[in-house]
Amino acid sequence: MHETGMAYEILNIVSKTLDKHPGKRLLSVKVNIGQMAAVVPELLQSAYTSLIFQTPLDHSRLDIQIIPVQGNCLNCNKTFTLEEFVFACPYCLSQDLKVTHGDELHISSIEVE
Amino acid sequence: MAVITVERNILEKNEQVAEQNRNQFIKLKLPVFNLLSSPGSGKTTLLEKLLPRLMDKSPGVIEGDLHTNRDAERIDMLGVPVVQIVTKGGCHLDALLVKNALQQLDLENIHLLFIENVGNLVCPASYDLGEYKKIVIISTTEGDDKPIKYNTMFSKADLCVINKTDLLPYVEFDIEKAKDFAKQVNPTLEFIQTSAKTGNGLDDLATWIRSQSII
Repeated sequence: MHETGMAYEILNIVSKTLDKHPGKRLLSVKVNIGQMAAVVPELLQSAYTSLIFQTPLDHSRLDIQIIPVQGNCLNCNKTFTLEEFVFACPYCLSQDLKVTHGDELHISSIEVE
Repeated sequence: MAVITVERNILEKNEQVAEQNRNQFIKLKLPVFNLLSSPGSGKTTLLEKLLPRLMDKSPGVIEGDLHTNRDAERIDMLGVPVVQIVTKGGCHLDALLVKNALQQLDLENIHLLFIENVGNLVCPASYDLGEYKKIVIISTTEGDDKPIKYNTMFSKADLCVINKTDLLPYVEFDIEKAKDFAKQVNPTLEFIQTSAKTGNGLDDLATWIRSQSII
């Protein structure tokens, strides 16, 4: 959903970061995409490739890390991955959970030379 | 070769404007509700029936549609201040569109604000508008498994309105199944059943709205 717009925003933010490091060439961008974020990684990848084509950022890579939906059970204190977003602790079946990961749309770092 | 930390959100632009909106609403002590659903669930009709029950709260409405002012015209007929956002293709409202629309409302004299989002159960879930609460509306003519199909939306909602209950005798929709599916992805989700056509449940909905104090 909106992968092209997101690729555009990624490149916007990356360009601003590169402005602070003149003379450096972009090698790759590392992004974290949560499973609940409704983003299709392949579409984000191809949107990125299309947008950098024949620009100074051509040949840079988009490294997408998919972050599973993770929860912490406030009842038994265990941490686990939520399967199919079913909000129940697989250990004690409590629904008293805190979701700690899975909604990320985050640029963590870039690699330059 | 060097690694440079970025640590920024892809949608940070929208998040920043949403925070500005949210701070403005808190300053004004203005509860704002984002109405979300697929097209045709009855959002506008529900508002038409709900608003007369809340006129003492001086409500205002922001309408979002791809095209036409038709929904805003319907709200305008009730004497409620309304702004129509026409996205011309945008499938969701974003914080900047809402911020601009707010400038057309006399917010000092509005004490309750509804934002009727574009009919879409996918994209609006990802675009914070700065609202206080999200209300997702599902109608009985849709599948009762909608909540697990559109899990991101239902997981982020505060209230689920099940509309068109007057059609229950004619459809396969199982209310308890729909609620169970929704509770799987959002255990604290609240539910209200309504028929915008007959008026059933509208008093309950108005009561819920009134109970949502922003303070």
